[in-house]
Amino acid sequence: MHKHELSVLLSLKEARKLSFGELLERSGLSADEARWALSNLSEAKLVETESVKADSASLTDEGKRYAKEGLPEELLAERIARKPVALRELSGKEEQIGIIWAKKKGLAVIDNGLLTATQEGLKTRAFGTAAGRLLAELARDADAFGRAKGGEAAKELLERGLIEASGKEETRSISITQKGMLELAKERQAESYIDSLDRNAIRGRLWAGKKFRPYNVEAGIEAEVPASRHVLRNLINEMKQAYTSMGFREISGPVIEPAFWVFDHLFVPQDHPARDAQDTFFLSAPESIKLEDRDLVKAVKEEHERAWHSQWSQEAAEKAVLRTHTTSVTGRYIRDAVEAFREGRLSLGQPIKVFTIGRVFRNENLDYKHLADFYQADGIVIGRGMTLSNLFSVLARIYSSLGVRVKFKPSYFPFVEPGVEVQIKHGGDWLELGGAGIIRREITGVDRKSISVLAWGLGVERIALIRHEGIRSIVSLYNNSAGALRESGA
Amino acid sequence: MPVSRYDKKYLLERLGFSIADRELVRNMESMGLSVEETNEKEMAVEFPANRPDLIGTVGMARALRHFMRRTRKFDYRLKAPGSTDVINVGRHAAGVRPFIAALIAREMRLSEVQLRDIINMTEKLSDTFGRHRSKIALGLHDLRNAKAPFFYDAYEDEYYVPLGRSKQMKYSEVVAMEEKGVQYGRLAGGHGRYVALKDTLGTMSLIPVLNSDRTRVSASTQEMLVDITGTSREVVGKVADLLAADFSDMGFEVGQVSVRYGRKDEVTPAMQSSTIEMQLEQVQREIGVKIGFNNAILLSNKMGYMASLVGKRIRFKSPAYRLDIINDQDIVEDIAVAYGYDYIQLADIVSSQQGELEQATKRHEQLGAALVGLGFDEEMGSYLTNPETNFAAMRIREGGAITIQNPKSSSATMLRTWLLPSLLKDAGASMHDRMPIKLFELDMAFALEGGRPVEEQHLAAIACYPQANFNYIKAVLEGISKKTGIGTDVRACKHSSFIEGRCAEISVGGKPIGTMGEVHPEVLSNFGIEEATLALELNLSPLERKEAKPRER
Repeated sequence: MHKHELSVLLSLKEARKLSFGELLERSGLSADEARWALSNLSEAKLVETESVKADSASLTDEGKRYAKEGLPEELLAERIARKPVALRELSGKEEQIGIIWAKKKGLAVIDNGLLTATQEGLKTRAFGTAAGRLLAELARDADAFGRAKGGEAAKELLERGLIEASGKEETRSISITQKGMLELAKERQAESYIDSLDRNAIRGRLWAGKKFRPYNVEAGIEAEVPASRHVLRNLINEMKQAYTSMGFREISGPVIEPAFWVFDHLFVPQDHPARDAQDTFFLSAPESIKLEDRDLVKAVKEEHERAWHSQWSQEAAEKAVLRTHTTSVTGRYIRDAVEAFREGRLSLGQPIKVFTIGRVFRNENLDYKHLADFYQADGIVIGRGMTLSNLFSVLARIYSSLGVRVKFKPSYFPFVEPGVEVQIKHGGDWLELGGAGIIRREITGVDRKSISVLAWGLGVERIALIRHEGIRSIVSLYNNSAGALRESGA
Repeated sequence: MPVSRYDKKYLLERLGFSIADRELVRNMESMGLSVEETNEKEMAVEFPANRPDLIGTVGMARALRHFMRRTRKFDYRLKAPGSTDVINVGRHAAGVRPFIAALIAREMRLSEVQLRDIINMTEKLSDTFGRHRSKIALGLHDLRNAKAPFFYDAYEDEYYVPLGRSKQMKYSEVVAMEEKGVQYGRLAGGHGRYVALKDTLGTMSLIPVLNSDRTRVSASTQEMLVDITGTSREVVGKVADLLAADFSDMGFEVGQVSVRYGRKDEVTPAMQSSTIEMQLEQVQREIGVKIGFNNAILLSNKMGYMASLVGKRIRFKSPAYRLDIINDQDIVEDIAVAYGYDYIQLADIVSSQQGELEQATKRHEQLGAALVGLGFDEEMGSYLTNPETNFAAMRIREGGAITIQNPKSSSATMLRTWLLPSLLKDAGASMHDRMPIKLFELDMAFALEGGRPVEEQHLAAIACYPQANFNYIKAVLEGISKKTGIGTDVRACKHSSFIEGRCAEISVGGKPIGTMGEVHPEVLSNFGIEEATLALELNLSPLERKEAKPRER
């Protein structure tokens, strides 16, 4: 008999009947050890366990879909949040369901044939509904039902057929059988079996003439999962390898910047929508970061006022923000390179290639599909006579070494011309990965015949999603419970 | 990027030739547009934010006709202003909304679809390119009940009948009570004055808020005044050019209007296209393809340019309705787009530069490998957090954090000052998982020191299991110190996140860089952790050198 089994029987011998918790206390075993021992003992009918159904709930197919996408009324509330939508445009089945529940919950009212969000409905955008939150929670943890079952939200989910209550066995009380008592007595007399082979036993040949207790080698067991780096970290490291093997040097730069380096230096006009408080995190401490380089500030001011026909404010450029792209890092590098070039410290006899991978920020409502910080990879090639065809070539090579197919489409970004949207293939679709192009001379301040700069800024998480089918959403990449990490690392 | 919706039937009518849906979509995609949706009735197309000329169906059809080489119309002729086609600009407008341009479309015969398209287009333009009417706003007026000349100024409060109302309202009432007034009233002026456009009969529009009912446009409008107002003379003028092209393409006569600023007259729309000369070599050098003179000219025609050879250079005349062409670089892009990005051959960059990782990355690799070897799983958390998690739950005093002014979510209001809170949060979410829970993170933390932001690289690790004991985390520290060559000293210290007497300060070369210990039970409860937990956090930044200056070799 294994020593854990023995401890269980010994603990039960006096008390006869114990709860699982009491058993742990008396035997000094861990929950895992005790469970293992109990399952062996009850199989051998040495103990009897009494099980009680515990509360848990499972999601129906519809429930699973909603847990992923949001409840129809939440989607609807999102859709009408900015502008009411005409009822006749909402004829889909899900939309109909959405209308019924949105009205019932007071998220929307019908006004003149228009579905209009209420104050409650606007709140839903940020926090979801109670039922939606519970559904998402149940999707992660079925046992959460135990806590929630009495509540309105749980009732609603049951009523809507989004979840089914079910039970899971849980051991409540354990008692020793007659056979167990006998076995225990036998065990205590005959110590002829060897359980674990220890140092003493080996040295003193104590095993000689004795038998080893046989184990059930066919019994199921929980896997030992090797520790690992994060899936996303592995991808980032692989990307860094791809870049360095193409001759790129790694650089990094500030996360917290004056708006200047994120926008103005990159020729983004001060009234550009990307600079709205809706999209960009502005800081309250520090509120602003002083710009030291007066010549640069003056040059940028002049370019802006000439091109965008509006007053340029240094105060707006000094506002502290969380960078919205890592192009601020490569932008700073371009500035340094141009200065070195002008001072004759850099010949550009051959192109300089650098890259950076870092966190960027968007002011998003956080929910099951939106994150406010994620990664971006930026690269630049500074040289003479760099062409659009060079740009396409270098991107195609880097990304094909990551096993991803890319293609290029015309697009617009204020700091490049020509502008390129980089797309990656995912199944039969092409998804937007980011932007690229040749940096405008308004940014370098040098004619493109002397210095031309190829630049790109591309998403990272999207590649992880494409490469790992198990990862459903960007948010789940950042689900870091030990269970989730072990599963994704394996 | 903004999205515009086009009535499919009207778009095909404007194109003037029949075309299969797939072909239409393919051409739009080649132009850099992204077709979001297409069905029998309409098309939704995402277009670049710097191309307001594509917002309306007329402009979209024009661009497609050029791109598919169905037209060679590059020039627009407008009728010079008549003696009363005048807007007198008063001196009070200057402080609020200084500039106005206008045009008069005559001999109009509008269909309902056309009228709807014009209204949609002007609204969308004011909304997107016009930055919600602050930079640009447009107004349409039926001239049937109007009497020229016109006046533009900031006036004192007065009455007019606003659009869709039957009785008179004061400007101040419109701003305070009407929906549009509440939305845009703050742009209309201040200090008791309101920007308005008038004719000799009274107010035509409270700008940029609400037109008058007297001059409301309908499908029966035959003569229409379009006013464009804003904060930049150039932009107001260019938008007038764009509209003139649209109305002219619809087959209406477009007349200019004389705008009188004091003694200075300005005729709008000026319809002036800029001329840019370039060497063919530049086009080839930037795109990287061999394009001949004729081909370059042809490709520019596809994008609406008129082009001709002047000696060794090409002279491009850019269309007056395009607002996005700043200089030669923009023309190079247009030629590249017309050439087709898909047809550009790939050409490798020749460089013998060696790739290299940053010092910090190399150190992180070493540390990460050591921790994985010790059975720690890596987590990656958000840089954003809140004072409850970062400070209160950890039993430490709030302060020294970088904070966000405009958070949308109360859970993300500051940058984390250390990594342990998110590791503990993850441990709390792992109570159903098998013990031990061992996690680490190698990433950034932030602080505010003397009003300046400080960005640091941190390493944090936790181990959570029954009967966890300080010795283990100390052993881990010793292990990684040995493996990575960081020589660390350990001294007992007090820290309210940890159990007193089981907490130590870690330093390198006499400089404190971190803390380790057994986490205080109250902190554990705050994070829903039900087993003893060891924790370690180091600031690695003092150990790292950084070099990011441009260099050759």
